[in-house]
Amino acid sequence: VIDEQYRLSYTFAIDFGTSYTKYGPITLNVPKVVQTRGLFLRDLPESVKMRIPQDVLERGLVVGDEEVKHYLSSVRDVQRNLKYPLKDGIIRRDDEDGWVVLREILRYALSQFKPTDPNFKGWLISTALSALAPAYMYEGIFELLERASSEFPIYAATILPQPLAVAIAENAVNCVIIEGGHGNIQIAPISFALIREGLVALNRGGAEANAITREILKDMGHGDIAKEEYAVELIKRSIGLVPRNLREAVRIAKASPEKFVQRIRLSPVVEIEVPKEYAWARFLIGEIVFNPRHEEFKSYLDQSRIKIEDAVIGDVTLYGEMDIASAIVTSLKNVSIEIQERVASSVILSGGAFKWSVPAGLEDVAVDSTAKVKAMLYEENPTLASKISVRLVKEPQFSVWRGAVIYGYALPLSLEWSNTTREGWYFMGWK
Amino acid sequence: MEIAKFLLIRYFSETWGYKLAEEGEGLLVFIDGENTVGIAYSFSDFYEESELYKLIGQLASMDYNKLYLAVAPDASPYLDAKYMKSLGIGLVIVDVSKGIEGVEIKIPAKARSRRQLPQIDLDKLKREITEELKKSILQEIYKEILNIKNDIINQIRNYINENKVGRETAVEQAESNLPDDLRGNQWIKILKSKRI
Repeated sequence: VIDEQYRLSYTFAIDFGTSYTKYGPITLNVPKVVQTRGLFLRDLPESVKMRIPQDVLERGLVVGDEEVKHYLSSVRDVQRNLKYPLKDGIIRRDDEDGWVVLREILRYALSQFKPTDPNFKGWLISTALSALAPAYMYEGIFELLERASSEFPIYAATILPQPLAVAIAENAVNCVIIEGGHGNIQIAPISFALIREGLVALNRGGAEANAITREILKDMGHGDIAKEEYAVELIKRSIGLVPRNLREAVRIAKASPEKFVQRIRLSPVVEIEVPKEYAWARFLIGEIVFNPRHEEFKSYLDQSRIKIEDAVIGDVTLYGEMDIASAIVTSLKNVSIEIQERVASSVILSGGAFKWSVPAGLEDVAVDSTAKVKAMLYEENPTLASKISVRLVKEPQFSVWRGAVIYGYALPLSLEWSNTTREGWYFMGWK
Repeated sequence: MEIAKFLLIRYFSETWGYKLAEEGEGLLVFIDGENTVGIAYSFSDFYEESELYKLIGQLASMDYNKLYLAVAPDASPYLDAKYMKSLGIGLVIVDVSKGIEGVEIKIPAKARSRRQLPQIDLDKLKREITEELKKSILQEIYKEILNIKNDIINQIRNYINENKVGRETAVEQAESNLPDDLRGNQWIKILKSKRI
């Protein structure tokens, strides 16, 4: 019998993120994490093949952080054979290699947990996908789970959108979830469920902050460092500032640049400094995530090859230039008027694009993401702003997994999967 | 009166995309890019012609790029459209009974160039205004925080009181079996009650 106790032991959640997949049963305090990537073992010299176990060779690819590292040096064309299947949380329908990687990650995740309990009838698997995931991705994931169920006991599976999982983990029934990823930002209103009509997506995120950082580095004469994505990310995290008000912050930074000069040590042998004449540009790095519509960005964007423009995924348009406050208002306008105020009462930020800190001494000009969103809302619509509380999620890395676990535990098994409502359980052969 | 003003603010901020910059006695000031838009409003059940022209007179002397007079439909018989056009002042009629649909620009305002003010240190003025604004915003925020704090305390008090009595023991037992991070999560009840 699948009772409360069973569900408290055998609910299993998987959060397929663009960079990392978080997975594990409800009994874990924190999920296990593996990079969402796989290494295809192609074009191997015979001498290398001899050293690889037969079953690995037959599968043709490896996943898992250690495993991939282990074989990395054996594969000749890493560029071609190291595969990241998700881009902005979405896999292309015709990306055969990508689907194989997801299948292997699923196997990898399930193979690590083998209950010996004689009453174990299979996992209840709750999978979290991007809110922008098109219908074919739902079908594809169920197909992967169906195939995996011939090897691992799976009782039933369900899929939920990541913003809903965040709301569940945050115990927020009425709220707006803003997920700021590397490639895009999603604004998702929630009232007892995800309100799909109100979904607004922006075609920018951490990547644009990196692009601006790269251009600033080039201007400062560090073109060589600007080529290394790892270094750019590190520099962005240490020098990027979110201005309370860009124009004012730039004015102050230009008037007394010595306050904004900073040195960063990238390695034991490399150290760079943001000199006085570029100190003001630190504010551009944070601002672009929130509002790219400033004159100051134009020259930088023209120089870089990055274009901030609209894009379409499935049936959702991702706006390039819309600022965060307008996006929140646009999203709320698509929510029934009756519940708008309730939904708007709580805005919850999650994701790496909102991870900004305020260095001591700069509190008057720099702010964190919550204060920035609040200030922008205040400018856009003071009446609305006075009714909104903005906060960051408690556990940015794990909140989706945690929400998915709770969802899998509580969603009644009597509810069968429906493609229209995208809710319910998909039962496997084990029932 | 308040509803008409609210509709007016919504109309200019949502339909036209202006930003509300200032709210004064009988006057709203919006910002449209580099331009300022002043809107004097008078919403009343009955109007006097002389009062309306006094208002137009005051409005004409104001220093904004565009000027509007906003009134209820009852005032329109008293207003001379030609006269207003000659002054470049626009006319907005607000019919509260029709909601946001009832706000309509009858006469569009002409753009005016603002008077050159003699020898004022604008930067200094801006700084002073910013300081004042900051102060008043901080005060408002502080007030709001106090309100929220009181609200939260009341809600917690009510919650504790409600839950002391009349709570079913079965629910309590089921809840106490849950791991810490699941206990008290409102979603569990919501999800469990989902039906086809």
